[in-house]
Amino acid sequence: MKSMKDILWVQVVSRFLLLVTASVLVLVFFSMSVSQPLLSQISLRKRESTEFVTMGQALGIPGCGLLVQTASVAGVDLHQPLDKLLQDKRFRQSFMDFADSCLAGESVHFFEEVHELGKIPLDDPVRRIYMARHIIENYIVTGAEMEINISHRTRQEILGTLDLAHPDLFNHAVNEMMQLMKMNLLKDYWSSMNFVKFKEENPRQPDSSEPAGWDLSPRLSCVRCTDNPFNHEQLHKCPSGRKCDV
Amino acid sequence: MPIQFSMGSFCSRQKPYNEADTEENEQDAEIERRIARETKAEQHIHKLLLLGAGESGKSTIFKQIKLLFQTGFDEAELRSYTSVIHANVYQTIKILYDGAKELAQNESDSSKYVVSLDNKDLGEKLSEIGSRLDYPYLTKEITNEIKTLWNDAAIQETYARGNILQVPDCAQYFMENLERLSEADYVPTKEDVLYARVRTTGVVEIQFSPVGESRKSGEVYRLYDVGGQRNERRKWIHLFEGVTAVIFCAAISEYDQMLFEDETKNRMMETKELFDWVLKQSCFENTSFMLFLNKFDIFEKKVQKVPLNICEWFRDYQPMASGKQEVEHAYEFVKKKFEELYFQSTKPERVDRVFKIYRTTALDQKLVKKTFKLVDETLRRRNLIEAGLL
Repeated sequence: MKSMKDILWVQVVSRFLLLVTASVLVLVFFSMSVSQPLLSQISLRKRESTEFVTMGQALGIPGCGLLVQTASVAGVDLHQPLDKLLQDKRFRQSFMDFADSCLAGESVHFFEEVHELGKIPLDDPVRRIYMARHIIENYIVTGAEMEINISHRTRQEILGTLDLAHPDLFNHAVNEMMQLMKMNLLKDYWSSMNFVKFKEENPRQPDSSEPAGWDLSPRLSCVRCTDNPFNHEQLHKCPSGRKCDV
Repeated sequence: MPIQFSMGSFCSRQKPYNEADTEENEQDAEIERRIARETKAEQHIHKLLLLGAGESGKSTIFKQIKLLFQTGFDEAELRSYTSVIHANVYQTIKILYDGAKELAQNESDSSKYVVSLDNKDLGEKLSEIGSRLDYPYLTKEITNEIKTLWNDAAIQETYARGNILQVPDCAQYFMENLERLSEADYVPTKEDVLYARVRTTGVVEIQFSPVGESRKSGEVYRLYDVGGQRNERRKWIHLFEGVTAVIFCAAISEYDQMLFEDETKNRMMETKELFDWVLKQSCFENTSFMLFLNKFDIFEKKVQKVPLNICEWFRDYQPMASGKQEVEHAYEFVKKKFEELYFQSTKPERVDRVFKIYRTTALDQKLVKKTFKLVDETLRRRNLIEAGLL
């Protein structure tokens, strides 16, 4: 009678233990697959090619890397808000060159990578997670090489996320960057050589005129470009400008 | 003869090349001259760096210099600040409303942070606008709503706790001037522009000569403004060579606030570490240091409410009196701390480099003008000493 009781007790305990371990394993499996997809899945893709310029290219996101000559990019309505303008690859490239020359390029690079992340379909979480991790390592983590200027709260929110495939993961950070770019860079960009070049390369469409309210005044010569050593003299005369030749 | 002929033909063939050569040589020489001229001109330009942690007032000083020694802001430039100022208003009210909600949840004395029922929808609406990418123009209608919310007791209680919330310093000023900001033909005033908060990213430069009209003894300065948050500081070293003077801004009013980029770190402690780091840079061994103990206007008010020794660095502070006397006492204490830090962080053989401390309020145009004259004098004097004339 006593041994029967003992057996029953052992059975209960062992079943309970089995259940606990199983549920722990399930949890571990799911959390792993969300934060770090199984290596085997990705290694197949990685072996195909060796060196990529951007993470977007490495993950095979369409439209990444070099500029592709397409007719659709020709007409850019410059009246649109900055976030819309930056959707255009050529404009983004031109704006990025300008921001880089002002030592403020990380904001635009970050925007571009998040933009590329947005192109990965939602039903492809593995690639999304890899891209998200790449962005976090390069732009979000404190001390990262291209760390962006965001608030403590936004950074903690991203670093503490449980779902790296979430479509809104970087929304707050993008918002903050957009404000930063608008307030710091946009006005000076309109009067920069980068914008002049952009206009030359993309002749205006009949319906898109230049945005009103900014002047192409002396600032034009302020931007020191690394490829033009004689810009220095002009710079000395100009009232103010962004530092460029570092 | 054949030789001569061949030589002649050789010469005649060469001639165009020779011409091209001399032309090229002339061009080269011209380039050389220009470079020499520029280098010479460069040598006369003094490089000034504005350094300091985030929100210490570097850009405000920068704007003041633009106003004082340049043409100032024309209407177009003033107008370009409208969107910034409106954004400041939307962001402030969002920070306060979201902050009130959080305080109402977490604080022990939570009931005073609960926004009145009537204003709740208003708060939600304004908070939503504040999180948009593009803010609408500040109309009379929205202004009235913002004003109603701003005057809510809970929002005022939250504002009193502003030190834990990253509320910009301009909040009070813009809220008091809401009517004016929302007029259809609003053009920001100089003061509005000085108050406007823009978190700087990257590097901006300006060139000026403080003497103005009489150009005789005018030194030419090139002033660099930079972003102050931690990620921005990595860019500073690109500017560290050949610096005449560093203007280090320290916001002395921020002894009870946390960093924008790291809310676990006290701003004053960060400034202390940053100043120490800058002082130890080998590039700056011969660089003059102008320490601006900035935001004295806010410090003056705060120090009578919030004890200085709340900050770890000022633990050993003993309040002495009250009122104006106390303010002076506290200021002198802070100044002494920075002085001590300077001598601790400077190698003994370098302590003779110029080091001056100024009490500033970057918003105060007269004060900045006076301070800058002193800075200019100090630097000119140093020049003369170096040239062996004094």
